Amino acid sequence: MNAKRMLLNAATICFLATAVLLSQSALSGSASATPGDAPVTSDNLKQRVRILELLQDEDDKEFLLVDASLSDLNARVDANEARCERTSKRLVETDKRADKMTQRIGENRSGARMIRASIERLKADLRANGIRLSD
Amino acid sequence: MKTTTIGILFTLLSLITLFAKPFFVSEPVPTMLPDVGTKIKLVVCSATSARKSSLRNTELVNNIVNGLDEDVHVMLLVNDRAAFKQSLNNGRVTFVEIPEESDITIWPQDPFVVVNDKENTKLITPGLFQRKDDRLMAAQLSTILGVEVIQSELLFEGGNIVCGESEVFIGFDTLFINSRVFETSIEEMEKRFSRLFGRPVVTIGNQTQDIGHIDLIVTPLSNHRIAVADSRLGAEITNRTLTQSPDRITRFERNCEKGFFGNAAIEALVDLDGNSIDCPKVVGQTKTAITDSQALADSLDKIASQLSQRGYEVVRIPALIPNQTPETEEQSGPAFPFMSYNNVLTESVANLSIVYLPQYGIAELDAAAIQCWETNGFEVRPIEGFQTSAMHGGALRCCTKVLLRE
Repeated sequence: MNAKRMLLNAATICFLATAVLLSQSALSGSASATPGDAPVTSDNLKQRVRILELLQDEDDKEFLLVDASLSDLNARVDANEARCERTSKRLVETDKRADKMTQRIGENRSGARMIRASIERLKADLRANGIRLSD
Repeated sequence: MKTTTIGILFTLLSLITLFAKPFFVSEPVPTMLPDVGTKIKLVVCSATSARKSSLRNTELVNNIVNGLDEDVHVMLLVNDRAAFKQSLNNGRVTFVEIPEESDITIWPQDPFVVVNDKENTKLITPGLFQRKDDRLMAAQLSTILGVEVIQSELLFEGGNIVCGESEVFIGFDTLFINSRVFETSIEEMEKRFSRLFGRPVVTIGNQTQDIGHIDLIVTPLSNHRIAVADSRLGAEITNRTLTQSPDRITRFERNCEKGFFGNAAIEALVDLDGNSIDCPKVVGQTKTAITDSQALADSLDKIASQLSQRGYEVVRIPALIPNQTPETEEQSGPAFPFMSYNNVLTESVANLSIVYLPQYGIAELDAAAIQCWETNGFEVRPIEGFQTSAMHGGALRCCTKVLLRE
């Protein structure tokens, strides 16, 4: 009789324990289901997004992001172009000056040739007149 | 006697509870956030300034933010906050600052994968991620959003992983590289990735990938459907335009070159190492891109066939895919745009399926892609201005990572 009661008690307790575990299982749900069909109220990220949304104005419509460094870059490109233009002008002027110098050098060379020829003629005249020239 | 009996019963009950628990109470297992599903709530993008990057994307960021639904919040990663000014009345965008001395790309899709259970969202980073300083992205987001970052020992890039309603699709290269690193089989690697992402894994392809990231060519859809790029169809449409209206193609090609550096006056830049960055030649290259796209078609057909055999209903979306196997290192940089209409974001709102679709500037091809998605039951929200990012090989999904769905 005692043994029967013990067995009955044990069975009752086991049944209760199983019932408790089954109810826990039913309440916890399965996380392997597709996100979206599981209850989501406690998601930490959702709470954060809710806070971000509170900071959001209702008037928010068009977002406009401007890269100010692009205009810096454009300014740098413009500055470079201006510098190039100035350098180019200077190059043209220098080129002209170089041409003049070349022309002057040419003139000087022909002058030098004329002087050399005159000296040679003078030497020849002196020799013809019996004047001996030292080297 | 009675005390002993109670003691025995108590022990028995404890043992039953201990061993029975796993059968009745399952611990929540985080699963990868799918590419298909409910309304998108939170995304992350990355903006690079003109003075820090040759790929400046401010206009593209504007197009993405304004192209997404009004109540989507955008976390915007920046490493040069001082360079940016934004409209005052806008709280949709939260700036996430990456240290100024670091160098980031515009591709937040790659350095981590998002998983969640009903309690928490977590970011899983690969064991190693060497592209510039993009590994910092997950850590900075974690600081701002209070989400946990878990570093995995596995190697992966988010762009080579897409997630459907029940399965995760991973490109062959990722599994192959990991099988070599961990000296194990592809099947074992599938199991390890499956445990990491909490879903069964399907390997896309069975040999070295022709296209680096599968998110450019494979898009999971709802109801056991999947979209695969069709580069033959994309080539046909583009060829028709080239034959009938060559001026339009030339205009597109010129726009690509003009817009490459964000300023038509800039012909070349110099990188941090002193190497010259040149604008790739696009003018006159569409004909070659059409031929290359046709050559890739069989490989994409095989992927479509693989997924079809697995029981998926496969829909095909046009794509124009230029050469993906550069012969020299110089050719491995930016090139003719990769025009993918699979690199998209999708969501379902009250039985309405929506696709956010990148646009590149060949009107006939853009329109054909829109029509194709519409035929498959989607409301299309086109987002303009992806030609420059496509010259670097990425589009909308590469630029925009979904962190949370409703």
